[in-house]
Amino acid sequence: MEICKIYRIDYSSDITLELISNRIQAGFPSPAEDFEVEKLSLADLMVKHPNATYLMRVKGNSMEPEIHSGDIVVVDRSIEPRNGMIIITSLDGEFVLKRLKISKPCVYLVADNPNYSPIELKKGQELRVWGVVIGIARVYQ
Amino acid sequence: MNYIFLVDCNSFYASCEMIFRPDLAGKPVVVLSNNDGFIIAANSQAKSLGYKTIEKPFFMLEQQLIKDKVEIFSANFELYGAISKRVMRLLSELSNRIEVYSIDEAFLEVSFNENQLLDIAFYLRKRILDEIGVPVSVGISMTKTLAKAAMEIAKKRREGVFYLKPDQHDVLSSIPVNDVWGVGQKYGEKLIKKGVKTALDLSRLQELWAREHMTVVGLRCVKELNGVPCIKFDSVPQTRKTIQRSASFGHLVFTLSDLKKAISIHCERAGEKLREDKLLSLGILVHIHTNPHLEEPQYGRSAATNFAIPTADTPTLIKYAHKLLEEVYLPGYRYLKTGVLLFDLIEEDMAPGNLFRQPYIDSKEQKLMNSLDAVNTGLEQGTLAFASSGIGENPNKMRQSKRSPRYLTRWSEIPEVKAK
Repeated sequence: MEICKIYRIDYSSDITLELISNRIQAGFPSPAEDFEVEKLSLADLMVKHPNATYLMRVKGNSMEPEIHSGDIVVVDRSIEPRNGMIIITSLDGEFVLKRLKISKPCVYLVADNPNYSPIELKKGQELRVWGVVIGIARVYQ
Repeated sequence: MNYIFLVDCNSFYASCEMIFRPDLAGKPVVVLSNNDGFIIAANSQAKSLGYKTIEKPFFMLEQQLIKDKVEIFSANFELYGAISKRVMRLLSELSNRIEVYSIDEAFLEVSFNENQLLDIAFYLRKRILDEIGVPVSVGISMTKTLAKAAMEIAKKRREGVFYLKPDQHDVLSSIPVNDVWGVGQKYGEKLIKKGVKTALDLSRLQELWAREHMTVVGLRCVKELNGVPCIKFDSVPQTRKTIQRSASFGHLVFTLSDLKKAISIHCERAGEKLREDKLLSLGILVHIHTNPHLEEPQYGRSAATNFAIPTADTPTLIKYAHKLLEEVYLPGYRYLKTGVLLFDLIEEDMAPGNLFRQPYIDSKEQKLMNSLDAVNTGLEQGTLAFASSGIGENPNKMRQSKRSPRYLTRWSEIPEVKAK
């Protein structure tokens, strides 16, 4: 057997004493003790690639009923955009929210709200996708 | 085989600003230093208009910048720090041997086959550009010094990547000896006098000669240029040696009491930094000076002293700083800038005891400082301040008229996307 590291117990340390006294007061160790893992976090649920994820606030109602004005969208820039996804792109120098619709040979940027007309990309026109929306955060005050 | 990748973000601060501003694509952008003093970053479009970093004060360039339709930003270090963290985290996916050299630059040690190097560099570059939005250049070689040299070439190439082999004599001979990492101006001049003009000349020096004429530093350069790694790989960042806080005034200041207020604010910020890094300071330096760009009487002076015991206590910093300020202050001048420098920093748990005085650690002063920091971290900086900093006024308040939103770190400032 190989000994990796030898620890010396420091009885003078406050921390050790405190732990021991907690145990004594409790009488029995908690049966849940070994199951105490980190709390659930919404960020972990929503964010798969923290390096590539950005939060943006939505202004406007073109994506109703799915996304309201004031919602926060979670945008992942490492995901390949595919048909049906909601994406962030820039039009006239502004970030805009659109749904990507690919029905070959045409590509459309569509709004969920029928009051807005779809944009058809012309042949040879380049589409720059800034990121893909992977979630929405909405807080009721 | 082990290789060194040097990854450097192109015009980093300007690139950070452009991530969130699609309207600026292809347009010239500059970023100004704290207080809008100088240009500290210019993107390639601004560089091609002739704007350089830290050349002339901003106020002398402002009219021309506006005429050239250059987009001007005040420094937004909260944003740049957050983007930098993302870049470094992404790099550390490739190798856990990473040395963060500055906010926008890191060395990576990797072991790959030689024929994979360029593909990996292009892959890294693409991911950092696609996922974070920052363009980077990559210099690759066998040692840090050669990787630095490779970077010089990579920056000039469209593809932004260059692999330098130690026997590439044509490349080494194109690099002036002054530009070799670690040589510097002083050694460079000495070497040129002796006929050593390029990196290639330097690499061909006899090791004994280099040692004799240029000490170990020179020997290290020669070896590194020949592909023998000599400079330690520092994965753990070193403890900082000094903390500096200084700023120009928004307007010129005459009186000792205004200077004292300003220096108190610097002491507060420097104290926060000390405590954040769990350091104690042994010495403090205070400096003041007038505006060298104005045609009027000029004066500048600094003074330093040691503390009785190592400390991170803001009132103590302020008390000493005020004493020093009284020593250097001369009435009758108009002051532009003042600042403090804390030096001889040691880690909290390394503090030597002092028989006659209660040490700072575990004192009631330390407890007070910790609660102060807790309040100021949760709220806007300076919510709780010392009376000597002047309440409700701040002569030192940074000029940051053109700062962009702190897109990544404040809920109220996240970018907006239009649903229209």
